[in-house]
Amino acid sequence: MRHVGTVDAPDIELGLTLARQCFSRRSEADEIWLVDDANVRRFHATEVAGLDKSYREIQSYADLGRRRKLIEANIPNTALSEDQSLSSSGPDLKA
Amino acid sequence: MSLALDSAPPRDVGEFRDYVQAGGKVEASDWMPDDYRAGVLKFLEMHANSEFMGAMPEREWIPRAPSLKRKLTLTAKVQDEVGHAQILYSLAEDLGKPRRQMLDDLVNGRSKFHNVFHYPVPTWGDVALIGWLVDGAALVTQHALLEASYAPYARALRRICAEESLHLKHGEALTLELSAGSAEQREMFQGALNRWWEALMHFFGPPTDPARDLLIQYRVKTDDNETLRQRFLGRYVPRIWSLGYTLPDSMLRRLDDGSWEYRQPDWERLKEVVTNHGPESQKRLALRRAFWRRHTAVRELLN
Repeated sequence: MRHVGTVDAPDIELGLTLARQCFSRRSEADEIWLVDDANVRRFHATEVAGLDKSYREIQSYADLGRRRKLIEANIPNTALSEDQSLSSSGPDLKA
Repeated sequence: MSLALDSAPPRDVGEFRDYVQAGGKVEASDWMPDDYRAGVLKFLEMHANSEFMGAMPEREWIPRAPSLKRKLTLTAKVQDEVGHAQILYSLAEDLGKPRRQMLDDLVNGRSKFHNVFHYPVPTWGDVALIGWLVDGAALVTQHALLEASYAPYARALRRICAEESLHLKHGEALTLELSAGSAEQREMFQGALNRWWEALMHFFGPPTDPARDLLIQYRVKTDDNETLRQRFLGRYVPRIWSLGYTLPDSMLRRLDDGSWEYRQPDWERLKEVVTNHGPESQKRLALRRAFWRRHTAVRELLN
């Protein structure tokens, strides 16, 4: 669903007629939803600098396959060297 | 072209069944047979209860998480689960049972929630396992519900599945971290596997006859319990084994036809657990009840 425009009308019935004429001449819409402008509240997303919420993003888990393969390749020897250590929960996760 | 009404389900039980089996969708305001309404409502209520009670075992670990990042992620997960409960209680309410009644029934032990949320979480290994395997099992079920005939549920599940996938990734990340760690960490995860395997095998329920499952007949569920369990086993057992862990079922193996053989779980035990006789059932319900009672004044004010 997306916002396609505004119509100026005294009531919802005329609003629907105008909306169909303006935005659905070639039957582009399966559905039209109309809302009285007085009932619309607009909110803008705000940027909060310095707050890392990457744990909510799928991208920050993109390296799981690679990590699993490394672990499987090291079984039964699981004593990994410093370089290969995957135990930190820091920068590794953002690879 | 006129904006005609969407095609609505036929007002006849037999034709309705044909309609939904052919892929027809049902909205909250459509006519529906009484047993369809009751069946969907009960299913939604149990799902909502499960999301709500499912937040509790995770919540116990927020103050004990080993790092700040894990604490934040766990908090986000709990927030998501309670959010899912909110969405699902709303959907159930639209089918005719007041939300207040559902919550009252839940905290007083009159309704059910999934078996896995009746168990204790003694170690961080259990937290990892829950995020990976319990959420993995839940995703097998929820993914199969995305084609449900009850359209409001199918729509809600798109968001719910997306968020659950994230929880699954996090659980897998925790599992891999422990698996690449010290012998003590690996033993901790192995201990969790030993303790949780029965509950995971119970999760999908005993094998049932799809012809007698009303929700399958009405195309709310598309797969029967055994199909879902097999899907779970096929997806996760090889990965558990390839990480070097064992599972406490000597009979567990993949047959030539690709299906999995396993020792039948104790189904009587599942019945005990879901009727609120599991190890943590009463304690968790008591906590929910305490909050419910404490907030009575707020509810009355909002009424």
